[in-house]
Parts: sequence; structure tokens; C-alpha cells
Amino acid sequence: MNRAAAVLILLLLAGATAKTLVTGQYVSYVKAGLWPLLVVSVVLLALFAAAKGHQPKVAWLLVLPALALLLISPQSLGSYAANNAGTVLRQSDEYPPLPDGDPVEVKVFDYASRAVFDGGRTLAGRRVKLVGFTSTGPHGERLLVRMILTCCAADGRPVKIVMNNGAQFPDDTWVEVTGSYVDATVTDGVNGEKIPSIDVEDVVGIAQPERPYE
Amino acid sequence: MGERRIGPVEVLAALLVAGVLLRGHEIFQAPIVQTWAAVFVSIVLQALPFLTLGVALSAVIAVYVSRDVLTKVLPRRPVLAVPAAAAAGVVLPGCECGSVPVAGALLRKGIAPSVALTFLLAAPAVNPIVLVATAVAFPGQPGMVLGRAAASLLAATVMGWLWLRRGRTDWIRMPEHSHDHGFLSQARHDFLHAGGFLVVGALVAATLNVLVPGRWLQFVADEPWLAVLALAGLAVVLSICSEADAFVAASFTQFSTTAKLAFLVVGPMVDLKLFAMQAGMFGRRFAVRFAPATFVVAVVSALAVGALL
Repeated sequence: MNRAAAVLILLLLAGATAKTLVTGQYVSYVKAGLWPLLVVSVVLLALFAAAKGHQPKVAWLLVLPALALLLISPQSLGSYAANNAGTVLRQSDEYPPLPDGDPVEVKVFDYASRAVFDGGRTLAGRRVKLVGFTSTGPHGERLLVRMILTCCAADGRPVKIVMNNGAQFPDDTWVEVTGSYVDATVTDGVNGEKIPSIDVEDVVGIAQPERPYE
Repeated sequence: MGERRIGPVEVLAALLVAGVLLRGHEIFQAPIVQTWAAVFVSIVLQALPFLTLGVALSAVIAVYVSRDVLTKVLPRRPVLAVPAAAAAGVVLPGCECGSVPVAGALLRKGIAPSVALTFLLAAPAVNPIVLVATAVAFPGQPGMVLGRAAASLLAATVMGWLWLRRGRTDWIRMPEHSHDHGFLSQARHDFLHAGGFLVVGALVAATLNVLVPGRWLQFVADEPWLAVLALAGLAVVLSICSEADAFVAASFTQFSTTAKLAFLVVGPMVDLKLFAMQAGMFGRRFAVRFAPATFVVAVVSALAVGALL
């Protein structure tokens, strides 16, 4: 590799990273809070490009993430990733009443936690609105899924909820579900955890939210 | 100008043209390819800030910090310097991608390998960000945070001592000394080098992440020994950043506490992307010995501490 190629590769990587920052697509891959550090990386990469020095052969490989970002620009994790991982649940110390609103918007993660660990006590009698994408469960159930991200897509894990009734949408369609709590669970075949359910009143297809992960 | 040959720039241009022509091809739309690509670019993007800042820090050490300063702050006897280096890992709030070039810079400065390697293992495992993340992921279980810190410090220290007794300096191919001096040239060289190997690790990790079915874990969760080995092995395969692994560990609800602890202790010390980066930085002869030994020591440390929890 010569200097010109190294400069091109560094600038390509800096440019691809900058592009995902400008378009906001980076939130499909990492946490939104990483952006200041990513800006620093872009600046440092540009400085590296301007510096002199040797270029090891292995640096060729750095062209791959740049190409993947610019040419494939993959979607955020969808039903393929959701089916490969067990549903995530975390118990909270307390479950305060839901805020006002009819229907009230609830995070999918929060709904699942309240349903499984609190017996749906705070959900009962309320109309709720959930946003996620559609997927198919182990026994053909219609699932509403939202992925949770801690750092990057490598640690993305799904929260799954069974949709009773409601219109059918193909997998990986973003939907807004209005419905009410129903006391029913199925078992996730991947990790043996409980998947709670919702009685669907209405489902509408929506554009992918700006932040695809919860 | 004279004769024209096909050089690296031409190859790069051809690659880009091929990429643009293939862009939007349906093979790239397949769910498995999309998921694979998302995981691959996300590992690289997540590591990028830590790697660029890590090589900047290592360049600062290489160019501006004198060897005397470093040796003065560490105990003179190597047996004591090793645990001191492990404790020093507490202060560097980065993840494993950043600590590889920093350890390389310490070696280049003439710091004893046992000390530099102990720091390499401890820094990503016990820094404050990682411990806070662990506390958040395991609410009401302070034992998990303490256990992680204790088992990681233990494993890093034991590896340092093991290197003192058994390690041979000629296994390590001393990190290439960049001939150009100056801060930026040093950092640039380290980035091109470590970054290339990061991509190797990310490629393998993304592939296994997509191909290994999550439901295999279900079969081993009930066998205590197998469960520990399975999660320790998974930590190697998944190559998750040490700042995020606690949340993933918490999602393995059907596994024992000791198995989860093994996941948390092994992950920051041995994983695929780390192995690729270590092989690049210190040579393959080193990596094929160091990584398996670290794996065994980390698992045993997790078992020992897990028994107390």
C-alpha cells in the first residue's frame, strides 16, 4: 500500500462515519450518545490522513466498514436478529401508575416488565400505545418487537409481545399498536422467558422511528 | 510520468466502482446480510472512538512520557509491580480496543512485559464506567459488581505473575517502531495497524453472531459446568464491548450467577476482535499462547469468586 491509498482509505472511513452522523443513520448501529466521540474520531481520522508515515498492508481492510456503510448502509436490527435471541426482561424495584393519557404511550420494554413481574397490575384497565416492528413467533404468533441497545448492534436484544387479533402485516413492518393488557403469556423458545400479550384494538403501519431502539 | 502500472490507488478505485455497480443488488437486501452488515459496522463504529483515542494516548506516551516517569510510579520489584498495574487499570475509562495500543506503547517504552500485559487485561475490565454499567444491569445485586472487579483483578494479576515465571520475551514481536517520529505519525501508524486487525475481528464476530443460534444456549444452561464454559465461550465469540457486556449477561436469565460472572470476566480479556488485534500488535506466536492461557485463568478466577458469592 502506498501513501495515496492510505490517505484515501482514511478519508473514506472518515467520510462514511461523518455521513452516518449527518443523516442520523448512526443510531441504527450505536447509542445516540456516542455522537460527540464519533465526531472526535472523524477529526482524528482526517488528521491521520494528513500525517506522514508508513502504511501496513493490513490497513487495506479498513476499506470494508467504509464500503459497508456507504454501499449496503444496513437497516437497524429487525426480525432476523429478534428471532435469534431470547426476549429481554428486567425487573424494576417499583411500578408507579402509568402517566395520564388515553391511549397512553408505553415503551415496549416497560410494558413487558410490568406485565411479567407485576402481573399487569398497573396496565389493567388502561388503553396503551406501543411502537415496534412485526415478527413471527415460534408457533406462528404475531409478535410486536422492539430491540434494546446498550452499546452497539452486537449487543442488541429483543423485547417481544404477542399481538392478539388485529390486522396482519408482513414481518419487519413498523407499526403503532393500540390495545389493552391481557393476562396471557407464551414461552420464548430461545431462552425460556415469558412473552406477555396485548389485546389489539388497532394497528397502523408507520415510518421507522428516528430512534429504532429503546 | 513515463509508464503506468496498476497500483494500490487503481485497485481502490476498481473496488469502489464494483461497489457502486453492485449497490442495491438484492443479495444485500436479504435479512441475514442486512443483520450481518449492521452488526459488523456497529462493532467498528463503536470501537472507532476508543481506538482513535487509544492510539492518540499511546502516541502521547510514546512521544512525550519518559521511561523514568513510568518506572518511578511503579513498584521496583516485578512481583509487586504486577498487582499495581492491575490496580492502575481502574483509572483508564476505555474499552479493550483502546488498551491494546496503550499496552503496545508501554512495551515500546521498555516497561516489563508482565506489567504491560497485566495492564492490558485489567484496564477494560475494572474501569469505573464498566463497573457502573454492571451495577445498572444487575440492580440489587452489588455482589455482581464486586465479584466482577475481584475476579478480573485476580485474573489479570495471576496472568502477570504467570508471565514472570513462564513468559518468554521472544514470543513477543516487539510492536513495530514507527520510523517517523512525531505524535501524529505515530498515532496514524498505530491506527492503520490496529484498525486493520479490528476489522478482522469484527468480520468474524459478526459472522458468528448471525450464524450461531441463540437457542443452543438453552440446552446447556442446566448443566453447571457446561453453563460456565458456554457463557465463557460466548463471550469470546460475541466480542461485545466491555461497557455493554453486563446488560447482555443479565439477559441470560436461565444461567447461574457464576456462569454470568465468567462471561463478564472473560469478555474484556479474550475475544475474537481482541485476539486479532493482539496478534497484530504483538505477533501470532504471542497471541496463540497468551489468549488460551488468559481464557483458562479468567474462567478459574470466575469460578473461585463465584463460589464465594
